[in-house]
Amino acid sequence: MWGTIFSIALKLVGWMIEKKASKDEAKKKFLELLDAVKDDAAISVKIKDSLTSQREALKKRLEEQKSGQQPPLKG
Amino acid sequence: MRSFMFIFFVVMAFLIAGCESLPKSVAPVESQDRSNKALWNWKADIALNVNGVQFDGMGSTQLPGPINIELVSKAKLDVLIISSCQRYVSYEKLDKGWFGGAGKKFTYTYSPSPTELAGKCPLYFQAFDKDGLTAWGLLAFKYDEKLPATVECNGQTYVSNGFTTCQSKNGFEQVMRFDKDVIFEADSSCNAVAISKRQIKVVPSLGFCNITFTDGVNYHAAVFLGYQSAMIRGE
Repeated sequence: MWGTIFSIALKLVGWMIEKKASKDEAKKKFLELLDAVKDDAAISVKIKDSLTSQREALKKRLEEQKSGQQPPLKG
Repeated sequence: MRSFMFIFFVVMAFLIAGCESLPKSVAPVESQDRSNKALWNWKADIALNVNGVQFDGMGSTQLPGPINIELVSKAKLDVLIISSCQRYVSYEKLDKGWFGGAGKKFTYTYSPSPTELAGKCPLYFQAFDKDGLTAWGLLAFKYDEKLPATVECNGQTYVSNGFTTCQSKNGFEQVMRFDKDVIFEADSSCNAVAISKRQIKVVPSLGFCNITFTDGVNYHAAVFLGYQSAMIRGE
């Protein structure tokens, strides 16, 4: 009788330790992921810079066209 | 008392046996190969409802704000990061789901600052749940772009009035058509080629790329994403 109780209690403790370890591992991976992707937030800055410089380049090309030079269409 | 103890141990034994018969860890499908890559390697799929207009992952709308953005994420919002060219804000467990855990919905009121209003400055949403699942979305803003285009994007054809967002599998051909002759400037990763003076083929490489078109008077801006694959979360 006490042997059975002891065996069940041991299994229960083992299961709890394993669950805790797996939870800790998941948390570690989660924090690693957050750390790894933190620089992605700069994507908005990159899009802004790219669209702004494209607009400036097009304005320049249009001015060149108006002043008599005819740069070929891209592509 | 004896019968009570007997029932208690039988129940405990079943519980333990049941727990042991479960798989040790069921990794979400998405997390298996992600290797901490940027979220935009996968298709954006946070549902964005902006002033009643629905977008699947990526979209554009008109400023000035404030605008209400209702987000529905496929990953629980254990952490949500919202960033623009100026702001970077993070939230934890925004929406309480079942049993007090994180939920998947959030309403964000965006009041752009003068700097955000002045630039072409999209909002980027990144959602993370503690099981390793992720989701993301992007909302771009139309400023003075007025040149309309007919867009063929990921199998759908629609008219875009000044600002286009389009996401598709990287290396797949997308098309933009205009009613007038246009010239354009494009990031090299767009692999943009003029089929004619009014039709441009775009084959985005992996990641974001941008193009600006003009007919000499008005402008059209476009943000393309070439993604590696859709997120399969195994749910």
